[in-house]
Amino acid sequence: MTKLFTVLAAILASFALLAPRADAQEPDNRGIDIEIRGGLKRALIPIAIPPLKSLGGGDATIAAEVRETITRDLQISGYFSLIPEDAIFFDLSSDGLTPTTINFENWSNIKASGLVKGGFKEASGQVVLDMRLFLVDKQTQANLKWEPKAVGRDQLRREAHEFADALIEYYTGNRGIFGTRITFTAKGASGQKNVYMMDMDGANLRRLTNNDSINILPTFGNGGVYYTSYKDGNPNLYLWRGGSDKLVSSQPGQNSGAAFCKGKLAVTLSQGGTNTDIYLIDPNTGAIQSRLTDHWGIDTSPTWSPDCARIAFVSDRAGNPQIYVMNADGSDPRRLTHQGTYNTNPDWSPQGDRIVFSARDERGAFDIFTVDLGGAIERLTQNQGSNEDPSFSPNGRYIVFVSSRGGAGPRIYIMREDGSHQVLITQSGSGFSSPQWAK
Amino acid sequence: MMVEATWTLRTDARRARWGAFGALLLLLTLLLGACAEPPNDLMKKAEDALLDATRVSECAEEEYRQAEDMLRQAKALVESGDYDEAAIKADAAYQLAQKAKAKGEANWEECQKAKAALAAGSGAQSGGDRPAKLEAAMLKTIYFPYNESNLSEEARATLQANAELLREFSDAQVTVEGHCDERGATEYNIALGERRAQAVRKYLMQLGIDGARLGVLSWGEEKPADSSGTDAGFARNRRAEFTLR
Repeated sequence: MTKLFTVLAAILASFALLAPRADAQEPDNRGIDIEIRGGLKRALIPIAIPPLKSLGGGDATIAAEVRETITRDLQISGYFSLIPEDAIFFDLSSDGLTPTTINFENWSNIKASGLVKGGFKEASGQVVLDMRLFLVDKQTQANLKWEPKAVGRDQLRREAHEFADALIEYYTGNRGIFGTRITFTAKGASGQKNVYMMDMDGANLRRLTNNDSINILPTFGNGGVYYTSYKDGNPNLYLWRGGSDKLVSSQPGQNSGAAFCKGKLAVTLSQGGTNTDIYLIDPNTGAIQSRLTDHWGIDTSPTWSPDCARIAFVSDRAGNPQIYVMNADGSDPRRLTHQGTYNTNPDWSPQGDRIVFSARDERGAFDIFTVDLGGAIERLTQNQGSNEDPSFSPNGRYIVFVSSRGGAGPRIYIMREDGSHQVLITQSGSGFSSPQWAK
Repeated sequence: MMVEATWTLRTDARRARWGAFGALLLLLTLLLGACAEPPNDLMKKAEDALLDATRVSECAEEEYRQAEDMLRQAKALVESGDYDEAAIKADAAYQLAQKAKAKGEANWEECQKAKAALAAGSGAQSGGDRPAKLEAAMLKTIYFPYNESNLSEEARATLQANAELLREFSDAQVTVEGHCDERGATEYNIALGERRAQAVRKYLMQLGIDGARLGVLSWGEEKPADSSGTDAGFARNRRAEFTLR
């Protein structure tokens, strides 16, 4: 019966989202109410992206790549509903690229609020995009913080991401995240694990480690990616930078959980004992600078506040793993989470106001929650497989995480910071873990 | 939160939706009537029985493996939505697990004696009544409860036997490798696995084994012994194993 109710509640909720909003005011095409948490009051902005035009040289693959990149970015963002191509019933060939040559009435008839139009030029291998955003209701061109530049074909996708970032900034006041990268691990066929990096939309996949051992827990910092590897027979800490690896810390036992903040590196070390604690070490040589925790319990997984003044971490000093916060010198540790018996994987938001973490329930499934510095908890995932390893985007508006939903093994998703709009990022494969967003 | 917000919609909008909602409710009721639930009770029963049999599984290996395999098949069927077939397999897994347990228990002493004789026999060829050198497989694996590193009575008894072997082969150097089940957090589990391995090392030292002969390495959740995803599988992954250095 409870299950039935849950299903009904979900259906009711989706009705509220899908039905025309008879009680809503005129749609505001600046999308003011997107700030509101909880998901319901946000109106998606209807936006159209007709095919790009050649303004001299180049071929159709350029138009397709740019359009596909921007379209996927806007879908992932969770702010827009994209007008399907077959809804565009009118002839596009006479529709121009300026407010006076665009037939806004046509676009208004298919309910577009935003209109992304553009073209491209190509000469001697360099492409220049000319992308614009028009506001259909106002019949004007929006002023975006974006300057086109000449780029090689291999940089075309990045250029398109930058335009999408500027478009998101126009609507939300915050720069988008489409030029950003995510590191993670993937399990191989014979049990080995390696570290990878990709663009946040899943493109430009690149492998950072390549061995038959276990390489885990990657984090960005110090101009590269720190990770823990068993390749030398002990879980040591390495730094991948510019294509080469460097051993940073090889204390006996655990060397992991690297968290970098303005030249400081917090890590988890066990120093061969039974007592795993948080330390500060030299980011390049690994020399121990100070011990921040000294408790008989397990202390792991440090994450810095954005001003590098405080550190959140996991400790089982109260009998099971919980999230704690302390000052950057280790003073004044206090417990932040009091619900549940298994709270781990904290990541401090770039805004500094809350910490995202994963919590394990009695059934052994994980879900993602946030806790603010007063201890108030908010749930972000529910009833969709096991969800863990959350990490904030650089602008704090999104969270990347791993989910086992769909029965296809652990795959990487992102969601809006309020838990809405959860999207699969890895377009193929599974067996992924520990995604970390470059911040 | 979403449901609450739905009630705040204005009446005119709400009325329009109730018609469609009513139709949907009807459809949903029909759908739910037609499709069965996954056989959760039977699955749980089979898992419990398998877990129960784990302890004596080494003396009923064939039956235990069959039970495990059957449960795996049942899980796959649940995943693919074939609940009726899954229920049959789950029940079969339960029967097999019970059989494994009964056989393992009945057979235990005889089987242990046979194993000991085999171990002694393999060394007999090289003269004397003991093997020439310690094999990692002779040192028994220690198991732990969920999120624990304390040694049970059973674990202590096993370690006493292991200590006996380490005393006998006094030049053998070993590494105690700690492992966790794969449901926890990656980094926390490295610490937990290390704690398990350290607990084993400490107890062996109390039994008189020189700590210099006992290395420690934690693999966290990275090297499961059993990837079946069952409770019995998880129980077999929470362990400390011995390897020779």
